[in-house]
Amino acid sequence: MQYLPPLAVEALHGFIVAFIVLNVIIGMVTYVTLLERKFAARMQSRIGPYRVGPHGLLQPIADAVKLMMKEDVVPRQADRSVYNLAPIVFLVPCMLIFATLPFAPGLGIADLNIGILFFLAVSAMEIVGLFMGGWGSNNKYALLSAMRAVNQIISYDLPFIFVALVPVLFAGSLRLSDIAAAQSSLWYVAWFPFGTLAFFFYIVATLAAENRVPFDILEAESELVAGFRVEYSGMKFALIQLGEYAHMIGTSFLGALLFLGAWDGPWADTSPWWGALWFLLKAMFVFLLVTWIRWSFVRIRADQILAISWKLLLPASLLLLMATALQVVWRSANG
Amino acid sequence: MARRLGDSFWGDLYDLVRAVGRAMKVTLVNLIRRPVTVHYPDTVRPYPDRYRGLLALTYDKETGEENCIGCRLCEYICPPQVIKVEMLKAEKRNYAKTFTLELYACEFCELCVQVCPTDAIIMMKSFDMSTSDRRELLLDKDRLHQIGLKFEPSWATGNLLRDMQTPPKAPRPEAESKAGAEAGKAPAGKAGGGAE
Repeated sequence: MQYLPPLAVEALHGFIVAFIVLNVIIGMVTYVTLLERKFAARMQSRIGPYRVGPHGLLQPIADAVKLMMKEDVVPRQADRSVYNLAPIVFLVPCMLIFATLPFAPGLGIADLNIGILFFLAVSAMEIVGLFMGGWGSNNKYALLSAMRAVNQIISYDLPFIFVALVPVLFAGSLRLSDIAAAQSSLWYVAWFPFGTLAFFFYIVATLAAENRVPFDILEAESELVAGFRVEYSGMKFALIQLGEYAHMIGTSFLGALLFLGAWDGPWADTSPWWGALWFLLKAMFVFLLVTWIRWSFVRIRADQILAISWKLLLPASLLLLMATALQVVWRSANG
Repeated sequence: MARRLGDSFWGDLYDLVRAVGRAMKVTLVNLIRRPVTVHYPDTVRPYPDRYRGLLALTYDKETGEENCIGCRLCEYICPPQVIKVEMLKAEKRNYAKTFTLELYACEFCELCVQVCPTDAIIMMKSFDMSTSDRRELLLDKDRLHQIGLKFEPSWATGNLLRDMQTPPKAPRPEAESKAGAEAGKAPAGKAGGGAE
């Protein structure tokens, strides 16, 4: 490596790590769908996917192959450029959120000193692709869904960000690895009441940001068929699906990092792989918690969703943030 | 007495948390217990004894003769009129020249089984009747025979059902002896159809 300039080495290193992470995430997304389907099936006293491979283990691959072989239909009246671009615009931010996540001490693509800001900013950008898809499809359902999505996601991004800032206040750093390292003594979810409440709010805001069931008006199956992606088929549909699940996994990882101590666990200091395993398990725990909530409740009306966000969650999370700030200041003043 | 929604913030919050907890408990219990569904083609749930499924014609085990005497009672009673029978007159007993059953319109009411004097038509413990061609559901005598061999019969036959549905016979010795004398002529008359 001596014959390469240091910047090129860094770029090459980043590229290779990003390539690996991207593929791991894509593989994880496919298997997380299986996990969710199995989990959901058991919650409804069903068995779930079982036929393809032992216990349905090859089901995600069969799904992917099926989606690739599907005909790619473009509606005649669609705004072609917007329509074709939307899945990519949707997918890219959903994948970019993994750029700053440290999966274990020193195991990540880029450990920015503003990692959490990057995460929050990029994850809010998926709404652009979502609205492009809804608008470009030239379908009333898709457009309605996209409008609802903008309404809802912007409403819930504010409490989401405020709540995500609570651990930042605790740790005193915007760098994700610092936040994770600061929890080696006590996870932030156990910092009663602020950390616990923040975790609870985080789960609620995550549900809304991921369009999961109590807040899934934008793809309400009974009214809007499949929401903004109703006109998509084949690989474009697969890209949107991939983006949604990647976003879900990303927010699950962030939740595990902010509140559940990230890679903290037994033998975590012996090897980064143990840390990565604990982190993965915690992220899956958050994911399953969200899935559990999803399969337990019915959809809330659009006005109720907005009321919950603006009248309850936003003031509550603001108050929580202020109280946390006061507590942190008081703590540092009193040693 | 009962608190109404909006009366008190903490009361509402308590109700909400309790409702959330109950909903999530239901799904958690479901998650832990065994699924109620089975892998259908591999494992078949035991059918109830009185299952009303596919229809079949029975044939005598020893002689191989059909039990149907072509009396057309089933054709008359069938509410959606899916059964068509033609009688073939013979010396000893009658036969069904043709027996067709349009299974695609059958409503599985079991009335044909209930009226059959010779237990010739019965129902099987099976709902395995899916097909890619509707014409395969137009059952003739051969197909009805095959169905009878392929699946397990349900408990119910005409005579068993009528025995079960008859009110308990009052001890009337003279009526019984009369009925016994008449029963000699009919092959298997309605057991106590008109007891008075």
